[in-house]
Amino acid sequence: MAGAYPGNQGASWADIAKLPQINGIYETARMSRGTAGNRPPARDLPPEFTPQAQGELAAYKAKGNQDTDAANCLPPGMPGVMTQPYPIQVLVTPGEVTIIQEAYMQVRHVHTDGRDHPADPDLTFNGDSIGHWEGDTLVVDTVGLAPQAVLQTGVTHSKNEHIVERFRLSEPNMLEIKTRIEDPGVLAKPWETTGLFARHPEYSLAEYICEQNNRNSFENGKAGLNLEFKKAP
Amino acid sequence: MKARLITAFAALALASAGAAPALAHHSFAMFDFQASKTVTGTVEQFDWTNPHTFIWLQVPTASGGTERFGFEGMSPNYLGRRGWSKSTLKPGDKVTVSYHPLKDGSKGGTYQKVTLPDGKELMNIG
Repeated sequence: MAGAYPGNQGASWADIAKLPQINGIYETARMSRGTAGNRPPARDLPPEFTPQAQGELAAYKAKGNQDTDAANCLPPGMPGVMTQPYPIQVLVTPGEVTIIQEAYMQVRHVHTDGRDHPADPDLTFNGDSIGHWEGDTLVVDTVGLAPQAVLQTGVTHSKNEHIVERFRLSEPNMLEIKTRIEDPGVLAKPWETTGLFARHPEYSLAEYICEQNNRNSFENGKAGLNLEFKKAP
Repeated sequence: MKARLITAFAALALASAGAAPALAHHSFAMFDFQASKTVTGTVEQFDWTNPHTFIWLQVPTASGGTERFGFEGMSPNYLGRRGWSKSTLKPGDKVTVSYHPLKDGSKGGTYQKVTLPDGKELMNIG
């Protein structure tokens, strides 16, 4: 696949310098402040599920569970890890775009060196991602998602879930990510959303160790809060 | 004000008012967002920790003793970018905490607002 994509693919630092400068720390614009500005969330439509997935979702809702594995500090995986109320950092280097999420301290490695997905990828929370540039837009293609990577709570995605994200600067300090998710058999039609991320040069990513003082562990379907006092070390 | 705070909290809980995958660390089903209570007491400890901060407060009782309340709030990552720090609350500080109580009646909940000894008010969401 190497060299399969035309145009500047950011193969060297000199090439990267000529691409849109998407390096930086961003916060979802619906809760962002400061110079980059706040934006309302996009008016995206909810996912449309197949009858089989609708049945699974209805059965899950009937159980009355109040919480998810995230309360036990399990990261959401893709695509949820891109919609957290915490900043992300985008690093563009020759051959790879790295996306670091402050939430759960997750890292996505997007290979931009022209490789293809493995024929039979291991299934992981963030999946296997490859990317290429189409002019001013970085296109990221993700497959190989583990069952625990949440498409929607209460619905099990299939091994065929396929996510395509299109990253571009819609304004000098606003990163737009258009996401299209296909999963035939689960989604009745592709689910499309748009996220806006405001650039925050004044931010640094902070540590987020969810297990440090997690008092919301989720058992027997019931959300809770453990108020047992522990003296700080 | 109360409605606005509930809206803000709900928005965070859902992690999106749009249709993007709705995921945050945990659900808020254990709190009663219809109720808001206020207590004044002495800070015993302030946990500046992930995934949540906790305010531990010793509150005077009618019989002359004290009882401990515990309040969960946003993470240091979130609050640290909105005017809070690990030294915002120190042991011994007399503060007033407004909070949504736990539905099970335990002494505590999720804090909405803290009034510091100098009268300054800090919000959990805002």
